[in-house]
Amino acid sequence: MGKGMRGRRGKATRPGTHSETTGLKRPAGIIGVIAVLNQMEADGIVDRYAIGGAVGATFYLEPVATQDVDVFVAFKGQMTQGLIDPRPVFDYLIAHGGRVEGKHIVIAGWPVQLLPSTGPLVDEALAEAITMDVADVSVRVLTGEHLATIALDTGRIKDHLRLLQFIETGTINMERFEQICRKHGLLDKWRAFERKYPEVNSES
Amino acid sequence: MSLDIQRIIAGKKAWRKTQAQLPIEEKLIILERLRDRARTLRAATKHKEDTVVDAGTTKPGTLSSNG
Repeated sequence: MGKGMRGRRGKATRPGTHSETTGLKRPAGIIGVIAVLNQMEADGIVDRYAIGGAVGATFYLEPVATQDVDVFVAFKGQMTQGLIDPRPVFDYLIAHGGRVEGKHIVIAGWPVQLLPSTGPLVDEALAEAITMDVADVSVRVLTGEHLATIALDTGRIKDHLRLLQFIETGTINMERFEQICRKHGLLDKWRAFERKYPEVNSES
Repeated sequence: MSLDIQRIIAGKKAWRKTQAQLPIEEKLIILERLRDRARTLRAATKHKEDTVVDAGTTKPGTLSSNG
């Protein structure tokens, strides 16, 4: 990435440099996805983005196989009859080399799922997401505590497994995690989780 | 060869911790490789399903539309 190609809020590639239609070189793989997301935010298409899901968890835990990149997005007041209108975002991504495939948009070879906020927990997670550097590219990622809380809330087997990994590796601050659970009405879920997996108490 | 399960579990846990502590650049490369491997496995599974379709035991088109 050359100098002078950085966006307002983070390092981003210049518009067009990552477009498949331009034929110019752009980063491949997840770094390529991150570059496009940074550019999209710098261009003001979305208010804020942060990576979650398995790719987000990889910033804290061992890598686990995943098929897509979950990206939480604060959309820019694009409302149509009370619903978020994601078209400007999709139009932008398509113009920058993306390809719609079912519920995903494929960027740099990775299916990306854009997830709007579903409530106060995700709002808070997005607001408190932290910026990290990967190969000289900035990326915003949800905190481990928020990833763990969202996993608890989502509650599928793979989410429980992720939460167990966070606890087992001692990667998250358990006090902060419980604080987030309490704030968002998830303490009962957490207590049920502790009963289901009593070993979490010996790990934490 | 020891079959001490506690030792095996402890070894796995230590290995996971080592993996977690790798630089993020390396972890993302692993993630890409894991995805490629999963794709290969899925393609192999799809091949088997198609064979079942050919045998006439499954409604044609159902599996292909599921990918």
